Amino acid sequence: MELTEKLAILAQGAKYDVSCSSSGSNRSNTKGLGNASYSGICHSWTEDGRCVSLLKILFSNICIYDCFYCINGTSNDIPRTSFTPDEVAKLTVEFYRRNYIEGLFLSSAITVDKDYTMEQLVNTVKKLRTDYNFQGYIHLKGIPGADSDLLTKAGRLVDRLSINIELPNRDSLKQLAPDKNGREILTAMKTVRHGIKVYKENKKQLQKNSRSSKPLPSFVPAGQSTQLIVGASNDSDKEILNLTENLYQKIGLKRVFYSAFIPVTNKHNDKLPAIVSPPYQREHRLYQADWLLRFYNFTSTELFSDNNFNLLLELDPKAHYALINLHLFPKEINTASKTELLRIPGVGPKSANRIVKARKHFHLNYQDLKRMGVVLKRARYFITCKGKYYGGVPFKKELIENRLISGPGYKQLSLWGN
Amino acid sequence: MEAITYYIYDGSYYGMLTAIQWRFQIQSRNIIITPDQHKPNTLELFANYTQINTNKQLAKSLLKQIRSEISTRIENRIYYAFLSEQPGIEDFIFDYLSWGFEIGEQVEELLSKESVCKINNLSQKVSRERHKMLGLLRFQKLTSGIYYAPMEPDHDIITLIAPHFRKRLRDQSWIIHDKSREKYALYNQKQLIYTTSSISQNKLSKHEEEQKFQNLWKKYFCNITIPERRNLRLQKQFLPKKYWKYLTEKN
Repeated sequence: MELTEKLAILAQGAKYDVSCSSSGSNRSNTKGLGNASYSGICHSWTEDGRCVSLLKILFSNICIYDCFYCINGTSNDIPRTSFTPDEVAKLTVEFYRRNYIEGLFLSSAITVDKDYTMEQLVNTVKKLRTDYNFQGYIHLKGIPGADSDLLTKAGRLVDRLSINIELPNRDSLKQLAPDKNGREILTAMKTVRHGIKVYKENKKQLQKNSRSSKPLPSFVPAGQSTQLIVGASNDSDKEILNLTENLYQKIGLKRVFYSAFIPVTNKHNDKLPAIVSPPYQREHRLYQADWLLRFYNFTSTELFSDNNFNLLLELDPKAHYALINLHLFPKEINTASKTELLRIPGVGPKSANRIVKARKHFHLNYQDLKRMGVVLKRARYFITCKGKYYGGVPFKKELIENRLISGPGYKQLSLWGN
Repeated sequence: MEAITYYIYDGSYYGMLTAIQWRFQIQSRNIIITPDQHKPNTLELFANYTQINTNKQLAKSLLKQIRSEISTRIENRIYYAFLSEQPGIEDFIFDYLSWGFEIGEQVEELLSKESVCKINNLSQKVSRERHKMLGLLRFQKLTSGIYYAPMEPDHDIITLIAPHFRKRLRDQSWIIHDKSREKYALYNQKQLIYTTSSISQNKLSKHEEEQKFQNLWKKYFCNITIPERRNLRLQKQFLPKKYWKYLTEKN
């Protein structure tokens, strides 16, 4: 098969793996090609609005598994092919030289068996780093159940390593991906976590013992991430976010990605929940909630009222939190602590910092807030400025909720389309 | 009433800094600093015109003063704001620096002053375009083996992006060409230089394997859209049409 046809097939196979980041690593080169930009760089955008920063491909789409939600399942009638390590390395380097990409995102179907697949992936990455002297960004997908030595070998070569959890609990996994093993997935994640921990400890030792000149080979400097499919099982958002929280706190993951389930075949319709269209809005709300966990010091349970296990589609999770905790509001902008400011809908970490800084010089007026980056369309209902309330409605849950949802004439645009 | 004096400089950064140094020394309020290219065509009857010759020493000493009395961050911010090429930027920079020398690095929080807002916003605009261009610049391999990347940015960002590529594409020779300003950044794996002398068209012919890789990239790009999530408006939001001209995947 011609290279161009292989590329088309194996790019198609990888596109549902939504992670797009190229950030978190400051890899540099002393000779050779490439480096990593710590903030990440977007090189292009697809027609569905997603950022393109890496060459995202499967090594092979010849799979021995048959997961119900996956286009590459063995019972699906699609053209099958594999790259060679050389082909992947050459493509990566030539695209990189032309500044099309920050680096490589390499995943694979399970070809032959788990160890064989992982070996091929490690060989490819090794070739890139040593034969081609490539120091750009590499994100590798780990194969759960493969030999842990292979996983560790990979960790020393790449910037990010991720293992997809796919589904929030063992039952859903058993039902929709009977070939996959939940325990293997968790073990693989823990292996990576262990490798990162050991590296950080060694680094600390080395810094104390400053006479040592040998640089320590890094281990997954940009951290570990994973992906969860949303809408393929009947699991609630509360369960998903609880799992997310554990992944961040107990396994030390850098990112959790959510991917709205898009049915790729009709075959397993009896096992999958009936959906009219992919749950994009739900995915959007989960990302918003994920941000609240990571940057706003929320816990997952705070985002749900006692009888609600799913995030509201019509209202963002932060506004919903404020409404079910209306007794904590309105907050006075000039005296609220930074933690309290972060809880106000429409106030983010940047605005909160600006407010705290500006307050040192003068008392803030309502008009000053817009300049600080506060989204007044949401914040106005939950704050006072010098004691005055600017919400424009009596301070009652139903009235404020109504204003937030239907707005005084504005429509909230969804970042992820409809 | 004192007549207005125009300080005319050559359009370069050091030229502007020289003019600003002079303005600080003269301490008159009726000075307008303007570059050669924006010089008024019809001379006003009661205005004075002084040509300022670029003095590298004066310019560098002003930069040193900014670094020590205000901050390095604001030194960079002034440079970025200058690169925005906004007409009248010089006087805003002068005002910003006056306040900076008075109150130090807190000047950037003095948002009640128009010059502070303007400089902060313009430098951010330039910074954003710089970051965008780091991703959108596309190189093509020429027959000589040198990689060539054309661009037409809104702002004069070539000096802001060339160092990034020198570090990254360390083992290949390349040229970045700002086509709207006829400026070049050249790297030969040893040195990085900036020049305005143009390169003849016949030296810019594509390498024989270049089209193959462009086609591979286009093939890749076509195959990664998830059709169920198509959202062209969102794509355009991130990728404004003005950048499509030199994007391999959009041609």
